[in-house]
Amino acid sequence: MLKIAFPHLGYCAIPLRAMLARLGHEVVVPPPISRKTIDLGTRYGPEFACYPLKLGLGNFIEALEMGADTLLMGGGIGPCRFGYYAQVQKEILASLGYKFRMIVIEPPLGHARQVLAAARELKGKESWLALAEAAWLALFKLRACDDIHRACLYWRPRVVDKTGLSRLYKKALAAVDRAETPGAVREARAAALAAMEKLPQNAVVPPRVALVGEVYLLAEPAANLYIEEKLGNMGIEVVRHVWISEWLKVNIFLDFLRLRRREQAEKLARPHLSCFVGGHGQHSVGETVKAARDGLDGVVHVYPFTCTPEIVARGIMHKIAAKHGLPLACFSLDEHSGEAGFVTRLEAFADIIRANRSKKEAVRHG
Amino acid sequence: MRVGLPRALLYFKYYPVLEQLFRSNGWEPVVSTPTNKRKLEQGLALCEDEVCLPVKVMMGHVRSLAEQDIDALFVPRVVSLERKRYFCPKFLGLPDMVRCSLGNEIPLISPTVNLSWSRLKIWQEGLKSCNCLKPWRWWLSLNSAARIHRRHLQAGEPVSPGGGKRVAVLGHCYNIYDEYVNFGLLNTLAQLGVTVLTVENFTREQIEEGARGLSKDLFWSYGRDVVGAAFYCLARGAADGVILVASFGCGPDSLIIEIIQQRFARFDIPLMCLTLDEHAADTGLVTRVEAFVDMLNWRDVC
Ligand code: SF4
Ligand code: SF4
Repeated sequence: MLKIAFPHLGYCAIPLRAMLARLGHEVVVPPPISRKTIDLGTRYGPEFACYPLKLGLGNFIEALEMGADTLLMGGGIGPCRFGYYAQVQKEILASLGYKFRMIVIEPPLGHARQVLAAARELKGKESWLALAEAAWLALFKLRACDDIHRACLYWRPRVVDKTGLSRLYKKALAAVDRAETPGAVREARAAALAAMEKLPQNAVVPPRVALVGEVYLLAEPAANLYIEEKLGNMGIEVVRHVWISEWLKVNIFLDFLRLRRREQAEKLARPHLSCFVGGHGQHSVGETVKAARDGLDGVVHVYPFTCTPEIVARGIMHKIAAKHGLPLACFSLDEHSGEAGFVTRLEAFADIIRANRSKKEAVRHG
Repeated sequence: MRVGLPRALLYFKYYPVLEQLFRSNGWEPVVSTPTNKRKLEQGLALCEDEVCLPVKVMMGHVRSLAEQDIDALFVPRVVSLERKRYFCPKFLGLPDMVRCSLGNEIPLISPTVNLSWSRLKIWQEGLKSCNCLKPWRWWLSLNSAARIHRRHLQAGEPVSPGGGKRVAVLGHCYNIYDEYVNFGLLNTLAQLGVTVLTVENFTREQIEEGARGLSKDLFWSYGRDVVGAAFYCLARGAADGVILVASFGCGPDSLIIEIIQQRFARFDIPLMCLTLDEHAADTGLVTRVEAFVDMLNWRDVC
């Protein structure tokens, strides 16, 4: 039995915990990302490394302090930095004197042997069938969490009682976390969606903005300074196309089966950024084009400070946005990003969106 | 046809190959003059703040070439020069970034360069990206370029065989050989009487030997060379001191420095990291380099 821990990525702790607990491990879920996590990651992480590496490092330190002896981490093959995170984190943790093992899960295409070895280690004494079952349950939970989150994004600008919605959302995730079978997960999901729909709503049709950028920052609210919640509370609907479950499907399963096809965002990006540039750079460009085409009211771009693919994307996105008269706000975030300045910029952006909206409406009615 | 060739990024390492390719296809290479203040300022104006210094410098060169009398501009999309090893994402997006900031002023020649492809595929890609190539001539020039490339990969002479302490200066070729951005680092070192070794002074085998010390193979060609050379210095005592030159805002550098620092902390060879950015002042850098060399010389005495 391993005492196993992993870094946070939004609500991904829910499916991961379910899977590892199913396999009989003791799961050490690190405490939610706090100022302390950020400080630990910044103190011991490389100064100019990207923010996700530092936060993950902070998670690991906190988990090791709680007694974890095995760390689970993702790998990669470049061209972006993520593929080398695990090795750098491992060296740093070892130099701090921690004793642990690290299991790195590489992308299965081209690393079949490593993935198999990692899977064997994770499954322990259980059968392969049990592993498949545990993974299936985890996927089910992930999908349910994504659905609940998506619904929450939709309802937040519309409902009157925003704190009530937050409470419901938390409760729904907790219910998914507790569920033991796919059936129970399905029920929890359905109950949550129904409850959100029943909350009292105001009559206005909210403006819609696309939230694009680097996947870790999109999925981890503590890293993006709760941008989705803030925009929603300002009465703006956030539309997001990058979801962890989708990402897994496209980049792990389909890629492994060599069935990966170009996604829509990638196709739309091609006239402006014609090749993959690592991370989600091409997606960000593609989704800006899509936002313009679908008549959304704006685009918000979030990424970690110095994130290479998103910087390549950013210049190009500015051009596209300017051409279509689409408001675009870019936030490059890291441990130094202050709450105050962030909120001010977000409010200014929201004002522009609302002003544009009323102008458009005036044209339509006048 | 006059084709603009920016004196930036990989130009510093591959100009023999590039010039050969240009001439044998009947293009006249118009190489931009070395980096200067004006180019850097133009580059800064054209780029987002967070872009790394070398790409800003590149944009400055592109701008200055655009003002000259040229028929096209050569900005390749360099994906990979070795199997399963890449360059950073900025190299992948470079032609798009240039097109975005330059508009359609000048036609770009931007073939995708991926040497893990077969030569036939590379040949096709060249024809596709540039319709002014003559197929037969292009094929011949490609073959001779490959020969030059291979010869080019062999270790060269130390930059300044001064006979004093051996200092390995490791980093991107465009930081090491661009005198403007590194404030004449190699000259300063030569004046201090040290023997300067760069990545090019290590043979393939030496770099391979060093890189074997990595827990997972690095997927960046440049980074692997630097780490390989640094580890080789550690293992074989091939240098008395190592200077790492990084650019501010560089993705790969941020991790490579960490990997090398972690390893050097356990050994006795001094290591200094210089981070170049557009605000750095030359006096500070020169002083630091002098102090480093002094320290190397004193180590023998005490
Ligand atoms: S996508 Fe951005 S944040 Fe992620 S590893 Fe690459 S540079 Fe870092
Ligand atoms: S490797 Fe670093 S310095 Fe070179 S282009 Fe990429 S980010 Fe810039």
